[in-house]
Amino acid sequence: MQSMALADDVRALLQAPVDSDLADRIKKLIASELRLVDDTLQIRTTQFFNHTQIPDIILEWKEQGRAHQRHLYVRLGIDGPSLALDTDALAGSGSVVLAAVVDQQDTVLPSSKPSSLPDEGMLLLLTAGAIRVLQAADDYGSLNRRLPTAVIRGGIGVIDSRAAESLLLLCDTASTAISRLNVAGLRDAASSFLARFKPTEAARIAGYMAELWEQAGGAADDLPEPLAERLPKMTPGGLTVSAQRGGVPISEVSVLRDEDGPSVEASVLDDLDEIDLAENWEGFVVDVTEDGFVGMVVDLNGTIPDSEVAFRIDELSLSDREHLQAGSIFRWSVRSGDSPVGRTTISTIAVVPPVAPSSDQRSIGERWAWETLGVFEDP
Amino acid sequence: MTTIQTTTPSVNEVELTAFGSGYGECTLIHLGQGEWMVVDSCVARDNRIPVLEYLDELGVDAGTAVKVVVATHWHDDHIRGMSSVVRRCESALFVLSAALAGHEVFRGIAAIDSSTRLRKLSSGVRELRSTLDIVRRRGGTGARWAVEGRCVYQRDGRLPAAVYALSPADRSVVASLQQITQLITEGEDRRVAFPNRNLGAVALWVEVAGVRMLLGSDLQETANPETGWTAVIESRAWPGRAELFRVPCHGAANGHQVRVWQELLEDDAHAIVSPYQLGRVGEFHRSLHGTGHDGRP
Repeated sequence: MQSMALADDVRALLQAPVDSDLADRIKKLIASELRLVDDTLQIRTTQFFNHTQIPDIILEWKEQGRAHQRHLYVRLGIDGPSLALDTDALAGSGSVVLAAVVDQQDTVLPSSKPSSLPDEGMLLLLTAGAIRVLQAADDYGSLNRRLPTAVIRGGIGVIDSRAAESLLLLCDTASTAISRLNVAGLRDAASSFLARFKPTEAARIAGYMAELWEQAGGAADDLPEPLAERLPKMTPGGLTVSAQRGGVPISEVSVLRDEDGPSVEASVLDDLDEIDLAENWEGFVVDVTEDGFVGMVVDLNGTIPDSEVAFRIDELSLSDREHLQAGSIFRWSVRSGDSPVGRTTISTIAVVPPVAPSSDQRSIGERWAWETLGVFEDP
Repeated sequence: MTTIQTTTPSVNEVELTAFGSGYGECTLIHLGQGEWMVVDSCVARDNRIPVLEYLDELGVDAGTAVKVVVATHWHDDHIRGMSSVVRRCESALFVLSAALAGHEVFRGIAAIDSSTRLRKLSSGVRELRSTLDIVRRRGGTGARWAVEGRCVYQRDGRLPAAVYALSPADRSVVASLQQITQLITEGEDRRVAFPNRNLGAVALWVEVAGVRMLLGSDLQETANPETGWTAVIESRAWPGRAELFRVPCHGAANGHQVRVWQELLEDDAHAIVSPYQLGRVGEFHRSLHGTGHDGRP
């Protein structure tokens, strides 16, 4: 049986004294986990570790006589903004990002918000911090609906810290079972895996599996028993819709009521599918006043003309207020969703904190500066 | 003054066209003899660039007829669309405030542009970089710094024309560079808009065949007499009094210095403002004209 704690194993390695073989040991650990998932994969490691452009691990396989390749980027112990940048850079490349974000605080910095998510790569997230970063992306909701049909070779998975390794196995098993419409196989897989998780996590996994089931042509009312058992407990009525700030829950804890047991805490709010994105704006601060600020905003949905809007200061969190000054960038979203108390509209503003340019960007800028200054007559 | 002419001015005619209140402020001046100058750039709400459209309407070839393009400062409401303007006005001299004349500043512009993750909103920094890219690709020395007292354009002959920068003053250049460098070295994801003090903006004195115009840009008045409008007045770099005044800072109080009205302008000068907040200007002058009427930019 596969280790349940890849994240823990990696973390333990990182806490050990650093030596020249550390990167290799981490790569080998990850490679061994991947082989358990798919023993037909050819797994090569590169000489680079955490490099911006060069993958740490290369996955290769053959399908119908054709060779396929997928790159895996290891991102360990990085911060949220760095993961967001990497996610942006790798979106569309079909790459796998194995990320363990340092959980430096309860909420994700607004700068950690990726502008887009990979459309075919897989994001295997090993820490709650990494999940929060991805949740901050606007298309997280739709991403979360696209499921890991074949985790390594294709498809997408957004996997939480505790469920990551198990879900990796589970999806592989489940997709095989479903593709053969092997209900018994799926039921067995579901039973054994779901039993390992807290109700909230099990419910999520059941949701993934149910989607797999439907994708494979299974009827919704004919779900294998373990899934049918879990799914009703995921209904929106049982979830508290929490306010979001920059895509991050303001209230860290939502409560999922398990009909058969006590309330359990879901440390990560993952019900964005239940929230409709109504308006999404990007803006910059024109002027800061005594009790608020004036911003010029542009509609990211592209339907409303640019507008100048006055905001009250109490719409900003205390940390956001620290970054508030004329010229600051901010994101503003207006969402509505169903909550136990009825339809709720939530307006959230997140000021984008500083982002330092990379060393590559600095050196390119250096060259550009000299070249451009050259076209000016001497002052 | 507030209507838009759609007939091409004659070679001996001086014309000032003020654009604004769509997004920002732009000024177009016919310098006579079919030569034009564009000062700053603004965009309409649907992202059209009115100054280019207007030149097209007149049948003016911006590529050859526009001789000077001035970016007075890099506030977004004065520079948005500037790269398109410079691209079209391919033979024009590009003039930029000397407040940006530093390697550190340019390096910072590139760094901020690279690290800023705006999705849709245009950035003053990004626009400036795009603009400078175009100028750079043209090569040669097609760009000039504007600093107090420097002539940025001159034409002799039967219809003489000259454009002088009245600012930034030396002290302003130093202060602006310090301010900008400080912001940039922090590497912050911001638009580098300077809310309280804009010392580096270029105010222009334009004179064509005896017609004098003062373009205020966003030059502010400050407590320091060596910077801002007081420095302009004390420099005595301006010959005579202007009869046309482009009101600075969109009419806001921080661009107001009463001595400008008393010492730099004719008593019956026409003042044109692209309103942002009308400020106090209305209290001081009767012949005040605002742009942006009739749904036009």
